[in-house]
Amino acid sequence: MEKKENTFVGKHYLMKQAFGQEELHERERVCTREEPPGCQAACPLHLDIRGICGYAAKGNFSKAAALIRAVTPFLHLLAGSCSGNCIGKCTLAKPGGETSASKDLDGTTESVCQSDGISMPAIEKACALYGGSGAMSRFMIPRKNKRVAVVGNDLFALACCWELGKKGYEIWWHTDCGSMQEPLMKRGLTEQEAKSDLAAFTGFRITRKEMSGEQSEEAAGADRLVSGKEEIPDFEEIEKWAQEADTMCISPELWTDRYKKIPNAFTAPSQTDPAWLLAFAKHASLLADRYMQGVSLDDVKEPEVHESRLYVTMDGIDGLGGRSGPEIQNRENSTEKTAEDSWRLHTAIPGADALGRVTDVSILTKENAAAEAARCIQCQCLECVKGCVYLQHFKRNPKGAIREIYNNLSIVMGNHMANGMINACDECGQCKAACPNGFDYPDVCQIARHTMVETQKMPPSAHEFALLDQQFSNGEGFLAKPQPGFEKCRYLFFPGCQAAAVSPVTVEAAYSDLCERLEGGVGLLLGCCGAISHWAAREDLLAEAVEKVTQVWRELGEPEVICACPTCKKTLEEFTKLPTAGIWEVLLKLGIKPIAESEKTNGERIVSIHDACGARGNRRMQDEVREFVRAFGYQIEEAPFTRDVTPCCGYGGLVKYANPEVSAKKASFAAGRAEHMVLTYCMACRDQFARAGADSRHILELAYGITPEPIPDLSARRANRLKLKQRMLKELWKEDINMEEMLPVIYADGVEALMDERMILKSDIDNVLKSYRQTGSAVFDEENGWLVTNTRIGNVTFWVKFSETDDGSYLVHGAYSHRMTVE
Amino acid sequence: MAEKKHLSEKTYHSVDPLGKLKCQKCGIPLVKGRATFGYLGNAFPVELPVCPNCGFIYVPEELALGKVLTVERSLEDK
Ligand code: SF4
Ligand code: SF4
Ligand code: SF4
Ligand SMILES: [Zn+2]
Repeated sequence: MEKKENTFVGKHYLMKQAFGQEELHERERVCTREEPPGCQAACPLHLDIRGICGYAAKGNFSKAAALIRAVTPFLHLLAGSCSGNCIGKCTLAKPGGETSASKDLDGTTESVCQSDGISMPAIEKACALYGGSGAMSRFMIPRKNKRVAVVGNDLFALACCWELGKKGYEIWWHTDCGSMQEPLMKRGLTEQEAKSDLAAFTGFRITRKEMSGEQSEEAAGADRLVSGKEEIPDFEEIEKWAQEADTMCISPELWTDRYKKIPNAFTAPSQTDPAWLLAFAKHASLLADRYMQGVSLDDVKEPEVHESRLYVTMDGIDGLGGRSGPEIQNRENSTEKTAEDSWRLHTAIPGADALGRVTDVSILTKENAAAEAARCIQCQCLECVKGCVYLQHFKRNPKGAIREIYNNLSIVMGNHMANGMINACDECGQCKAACPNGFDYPDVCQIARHTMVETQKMPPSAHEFALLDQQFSNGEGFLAKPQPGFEKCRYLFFPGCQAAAVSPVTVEAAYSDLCERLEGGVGLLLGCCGAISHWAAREDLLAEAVEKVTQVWRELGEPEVICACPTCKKTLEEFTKLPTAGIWEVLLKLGIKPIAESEKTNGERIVSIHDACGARGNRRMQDEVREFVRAFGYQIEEAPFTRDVTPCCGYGGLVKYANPEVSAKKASFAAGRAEHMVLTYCMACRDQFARAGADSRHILELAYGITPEPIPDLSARRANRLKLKQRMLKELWKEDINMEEMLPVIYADGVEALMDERMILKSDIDNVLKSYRQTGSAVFDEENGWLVTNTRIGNVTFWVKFSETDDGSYLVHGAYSHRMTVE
Repeated sequence: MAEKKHLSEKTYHSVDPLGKLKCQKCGIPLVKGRATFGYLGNAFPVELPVCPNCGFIYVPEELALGKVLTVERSLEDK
């Protein structure tokens, strides 16, 4: 009874929706990934050709056939006589393989290309041959007590019988046909084939009625139905049949405009192509069905084919059609096979050429049909996913993900399953830049984070460390000074928190260079622009940071801010009116001395550039950096995914803190793209690349000939900033600052790495030990022979395992933390 | 876990000092005692090694990085 009191004590459930359903739908509509591929859009029946190929490629012709039969039972018919409208619209038939809505609708593709489109008629034939019987166990057709009169001798009539028969209507088929097979046999099917297609009619209530009126006896004449109408029954007769039934479908070949007077009669325009005729039979049947249900007929669309809006590129497609390269996780119907497999398969197959294309339909075997199907690249839009490790890691596409996020934010009670996903996105914008439609996924993540913060649903552990780091940068680590000898400055050097944390030497070198070569004084600002809080959706802290920078800027006489970090520059541009410049453009103007061949890092002459997320969409900045690098005498080779579609290094969006695993994956993907040394122009990128083991330099390290310092752990990142501030103050401004003295601590092997992983700082250890010195509270662990003590710092309790050495220092054996309080 | 049945109140976790832990300050062995973990407005009664004299509560590493972390994570997603 009592336990209730303790467990769920009134947690406040604040509700706020990020955006409404309507906006969700609007955002979802931007993505065209669910559009049918070119083949399906061009098929009058909109057969799921991609799915059919998927099964057929695996040799599963019965599943492939089932996909066709779900739409139409006339498999043998299609196999023999469909004109294959889809072939020319297949991605493989298009030069360059690109499909887009802008292509003209009936632009005839060159015949050379056409031959490369997947041959659906061949696959349909294989489905007919090897797909088993079309018989379905239909013991459950709900009987409807309405009757349909179907009038005609052709495929249209037969198709209407199927469409309405499967819905449970009773059918009176007014026809001259002596059998159900006749319309099919007239189109060239053998009796056997016709019977097989008709197996799907089992259980239908169809009554064949003699069509009175004069009949044209010779079936041969009606073989191809284009040439003139057959003899038409009397109008009165037709009217009578219409009255006997609830509705009526009349073959186009028998239709005359007089029948328009009959309100419940439906037909279609004449068609030569069987697929079109079947599509129109579907349409007429649907009208009839709706008519009987008393539903409006207004929104029933006529059959049509259209150009696909699905965006498909052919990169990563080998010459054989199959997709090579890293398997992208969330593809549906993937036809697991390698290029080698396809090759082996194809060369060995009779009736197919080396590319797997069916050359001879008369010797259609399971093998050559499967090979043909295997050429299908299973078209889908992967533009956003293929460059983003995060989306691949979570096996998501942006469209599906925003719905999950939407739902996640709407939950009042229960688990917020998408929190982790929301906080693992770098909000880098690569996917948006890559999407043909500009789908803005990072915007949704950012909105979601805001909502989470506002409703107090943001997991406290996700961003706290990073936010404390920003606080450190703009507190203890903060420094703002005019150039010695100046009160106001024309320039203000703002290297950004990452440069100071990762490579303080570079900051010093750049500052002294700028002071030397620029006139009018260069102030120095060591701090954080607030990007960290922006990623954490803490607008309050962002405003604070921005205000701090702005105030310094005012005090120094409103100088031009020279940024060394693209993200700082972008943040200042977005949230302040401060004039900014990139250090690369300033240095370019001041002049650059090429680096002697002998001094080039590792003798490299060719380098690749990793564009920073802060430079996405900023062609000018990207170009300036390239010019800067070339000025040193380097050649640039663009790596895959460059400029606007450059992947994030894994630091963006605070993923490094919120999801170290995804961050590391991102870093190694980004670092693995280039064959040469990678130059970055953001120090966070450089750090991430170094962690991924890549040969990388920041362009300023390159400029000032600085050998990268060892990768700093979290403690060193802070110590670097503090020491930089202390050193510069002393050397340039002749000021001393008192740094708080740390207790003498020695770390046992591996402990520092463990602390870094657990995000425990040396200053935390120092705090814990200092508190132990005051209280003397600790546990003696007899087994291990060490003491364990703790202190709560902010929202975290830190524990330190230690022993005191003879010389009065502390030997730390381990450290851990938890956020729960304990009392 | 075995001791659970002797308690009237539900205990989420129980750690026995097994006589191997001593309070450094008071010089006496820690004993199994009541404690409460709290996070985001939730409370969980547990049994932890406690000093019977000064009340020092010990959270061993395995517990902090195991169950405590798991519960923290799941509460953050509530
Ligand atoms: S490659 Fe396959 S999915 Fe793509 S258009 Fe051609 S048949 Fe359709
Ligand atoms: S990490 Fe970047 S590319 Fe991936 S989903 Fe987020 S914003 Fe898009
Ligand atoms: S790139 Fe991604 S978001 Fe854009 S249309 Fe394609 S699948 Fe949709
Ligand atoms: Zn004690």
